Amino acid sequence: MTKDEMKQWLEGEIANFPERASGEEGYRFMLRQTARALDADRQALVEVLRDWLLLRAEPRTMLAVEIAASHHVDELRNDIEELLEDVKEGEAFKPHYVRPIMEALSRI
Amino acid sequence: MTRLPVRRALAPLLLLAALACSVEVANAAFSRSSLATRGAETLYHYGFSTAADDIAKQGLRPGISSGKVFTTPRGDLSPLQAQIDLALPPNRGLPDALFEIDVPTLRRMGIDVPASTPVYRNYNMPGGGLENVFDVRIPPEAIRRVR
Repeated sequence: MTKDEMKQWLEGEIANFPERASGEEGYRFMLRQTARALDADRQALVEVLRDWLLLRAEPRTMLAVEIAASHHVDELRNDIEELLEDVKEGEAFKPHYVRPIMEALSRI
Repeated sequence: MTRLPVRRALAPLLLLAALACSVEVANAAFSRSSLATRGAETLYHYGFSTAADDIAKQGLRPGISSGKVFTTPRGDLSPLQAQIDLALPPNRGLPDALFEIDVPTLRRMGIDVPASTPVYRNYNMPGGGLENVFDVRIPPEAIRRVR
């Protein structure tokens, strides 16, 4: 799968998920989906997640953080550390995002 | 003979009175809802016990397709009533857990608390309740499970 194909697939999964479902349900669903993708198309998935991390916006950036942490995607460690610095410097998200990002980094 | 012209003359006045009355009613309703929003020190999230540990560690995370966290000022809804009034997706069972969100804690953490808005029909659920919709994660420090 190419990066574009991976992105299209992931965006389709998100778009088809019930809009008023909670984040917890959505995260669980996406972790299941990406576990399969990670085995078959790791590079394409990493590239899409890297793009999401650069968005610096909910929900995709924090979803990418969680996917990277839960599936131990070490290739994204530097990207998440840069995100953490941006949050600490007030350039992305509210200050209360520092803790979940640090916690995610500890799990990668 | 003279009644018709009198009625005609009074018609604009009656219309004005009716308009004034409806504006007053609308203002009162708005004022009540604003007061309710300003005064709400606690918000609630109807969710699932299977997610309770996750919420205790990570907080309430925005939905993956909406980017929103849905909360309500009503903490006294039964699981069925919550499903109906808050137009929750019906294909996953009734919400069996209730989480309380401390608004002063959110404010102290610099998190804007949105005003209450009506819940509209969705997933064939009628809605009709009130909701406060956040576009940021609600941190675990502000959350307590009450059911």
